[in-house]
Amino acid sequence: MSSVITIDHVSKAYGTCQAVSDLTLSLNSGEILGFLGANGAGKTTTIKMLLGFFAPDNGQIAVYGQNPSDATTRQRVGYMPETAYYYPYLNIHELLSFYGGLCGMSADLIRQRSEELIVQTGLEHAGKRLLKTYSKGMLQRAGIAQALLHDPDLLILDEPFTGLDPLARIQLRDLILDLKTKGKTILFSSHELSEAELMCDRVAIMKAGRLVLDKPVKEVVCDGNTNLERIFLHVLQSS
Amino acid sequence: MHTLRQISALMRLSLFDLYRRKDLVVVALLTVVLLVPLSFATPFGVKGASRYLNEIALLLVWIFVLAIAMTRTARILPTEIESRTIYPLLSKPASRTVILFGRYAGVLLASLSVLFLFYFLYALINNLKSALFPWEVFAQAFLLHASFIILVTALALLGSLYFNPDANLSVMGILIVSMFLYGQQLPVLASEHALPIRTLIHTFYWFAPHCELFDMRTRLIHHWPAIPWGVCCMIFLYALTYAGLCFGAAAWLFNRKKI
Amino acid sequence: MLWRLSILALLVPGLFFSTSRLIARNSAIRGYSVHPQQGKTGNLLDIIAGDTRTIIGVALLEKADAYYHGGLVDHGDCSVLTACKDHDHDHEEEQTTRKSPAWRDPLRYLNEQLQAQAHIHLDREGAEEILPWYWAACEASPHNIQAIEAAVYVLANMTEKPQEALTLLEKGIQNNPYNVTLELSRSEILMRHFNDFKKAELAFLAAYEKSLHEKAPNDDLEKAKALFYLGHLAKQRHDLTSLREWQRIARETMSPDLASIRNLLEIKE
Repeated sequence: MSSVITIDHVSKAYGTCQAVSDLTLSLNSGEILGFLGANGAGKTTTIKMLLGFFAPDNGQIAVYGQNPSDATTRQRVGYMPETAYYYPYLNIHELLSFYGGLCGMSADLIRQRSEELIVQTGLEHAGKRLLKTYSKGMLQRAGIAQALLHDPDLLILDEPFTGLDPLARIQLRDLILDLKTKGKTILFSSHELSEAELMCDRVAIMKAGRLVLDKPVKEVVCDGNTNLERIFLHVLQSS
Repeated sequence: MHTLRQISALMRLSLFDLYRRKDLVVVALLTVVLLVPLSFATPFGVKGASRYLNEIALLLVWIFVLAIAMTRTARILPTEIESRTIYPLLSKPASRTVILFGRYAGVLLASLSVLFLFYFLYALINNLKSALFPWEVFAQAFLLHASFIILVTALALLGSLYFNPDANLSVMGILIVSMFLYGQQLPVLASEHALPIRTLIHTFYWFAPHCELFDMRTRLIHHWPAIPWGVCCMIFLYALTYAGLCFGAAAWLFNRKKI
Repeated sequence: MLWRLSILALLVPGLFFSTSRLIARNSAIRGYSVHPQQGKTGNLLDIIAGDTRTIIGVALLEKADAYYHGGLVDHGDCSVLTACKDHDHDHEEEQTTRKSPAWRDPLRYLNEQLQAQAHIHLDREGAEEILPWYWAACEASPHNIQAIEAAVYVLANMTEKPQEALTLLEKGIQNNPYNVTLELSRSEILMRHFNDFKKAELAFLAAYEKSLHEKAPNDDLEKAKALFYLGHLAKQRHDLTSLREWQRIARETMSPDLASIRNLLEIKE
């Protein structure tokens, strides 16, 4: 399997605060990686570096072997931010049309993809409503739709389950698993350990900017008496 | 083609922003509320005075269009960053310069469309009242006003990378009003001072935006003849050059900004 | 209510534009003295604007003068009131001498191209264009005597509305009870536009009496003018006793150097 993401001894500091320290991580094509950690562990900083929002202080980051800040790299990446506030004066069709235009998609393709995704994310009943009238869960779904719009090969989802009701969680989980079957590579950060355990091939746990665990889920929970939640607590307390 | 689609999408967003937020409706209502009573006024029982109405109408157009253009431009980036909509935006395959240009061009287009609307209404009302409407001066006034909007929005865009929106609007407001009032007095002021201050004032004179060059209201109101089109084009080019430099600086800063 | 709104609508842009122009030119307000408010009328504008009404009034008066000059702001000491006294000068020359070559300062060159090229005065037909600004100036600052005087001149002499001028003067006198200038203007309007010599004489008498009042500014010219007209009107109705009395007062209390006093003393029985 070819490597989609390569993070090689990366460090990043905000002033005196070391957000990420000497992080080395990779993600192979078709894999789902659960990127876990407590608040302030450095997950979002790592994701922002992966998206090319800023460069690391030290080390190298490559996405599909290229600099993540290149527009051509981002053509293959879909991103859903942690707290998704979209333009409140647009409806979902207009929002997707806007992001589609940014991806350079033709109007016909945008229309076709938008309709599919609106149905997939269960927003068809709210198609004409402005986003300012959406609930948090509906905005999360809109965020997923925009991330998937240009049919990216790599999906980076930052806390995708936040604000979703149980039914929506199941729908999103099914959607992610469906994407995996289509060969997409997915990295998602989450506090929802049960979801990670159900979906991920591999988990990486961060603590205070350092990677403290990077193993396949099967290896982590090989013992039938344990689960990811216990492992997570154990790893954080012991390291 | 790819870049054009991106710019067009970003421009559409700004237009939606302006028209969906109903700012324009508020501005239009305010204009009507201020102008309608005045249009029925008969000071000292004398009817027929119209220049004062034109003057107030044009002043309102200047204030309102400037307010719309400045507030919208000053808030483009801070609002995107504050509401975190910048993240999905930057994650798309568009360069930061294209994003900045598209958003700026959108706000500019929205502001110019408001300007056009106001001038159209002005011409409509005046032309209904008078067969001798000064079309040439009117066209020049519109062109120079549009140039002014191009310049100040680019300046506000640059300011938005340094200041928060409120500070940006205050600084730009002071700068614009000061240049309107003192722009042409700066060389006189410089000549009254000793060397270091004189050089400072002269430098400011050459680099500050000369907003006073774009105001043709008096010519329009008092039926003065049109200015030579060469002069008009020079002022337009001045605005374009100034705006281009401001945008270039803003793009350079935005590409280096940590978000 | 609609009128109040109109006043506010005129005042707000007026304040913004006109006062800023005044400050910008960094000059003393030519020809107009800023009168301190002599008392509050307790109306809405007083509450909102307070003493700034005086400044606004002066600014609006400047605006009116600019209108009189076809929009030209820098028109020297030339105003409606000076123009009525056969004022004649060549502003076009002033404008052209200021021009600077384009290569030396292109910004200044461009600005000069935008500014007024010629100094024109509004004719009688265009005079009504000035009135809204005078009206606003008088409403903004009821104690601005210059504004009232200028408005009266335009109304009575340029737009043939002497009745409106008289009404404005009466309102002005009400607001400025010790002002001799307004009383004299009222007398002249009554005499020249209405040929009502009886009322005019009473108004001149009131002007003279006011000029003696301790609260009135000590202006011998105005007092002399009132005395001259009182004597002149007494002669006109063949009241020689009154004429002699006015001549005696003039001789005893006024300087013979004043033209009006000389003219009064020269009236033959």
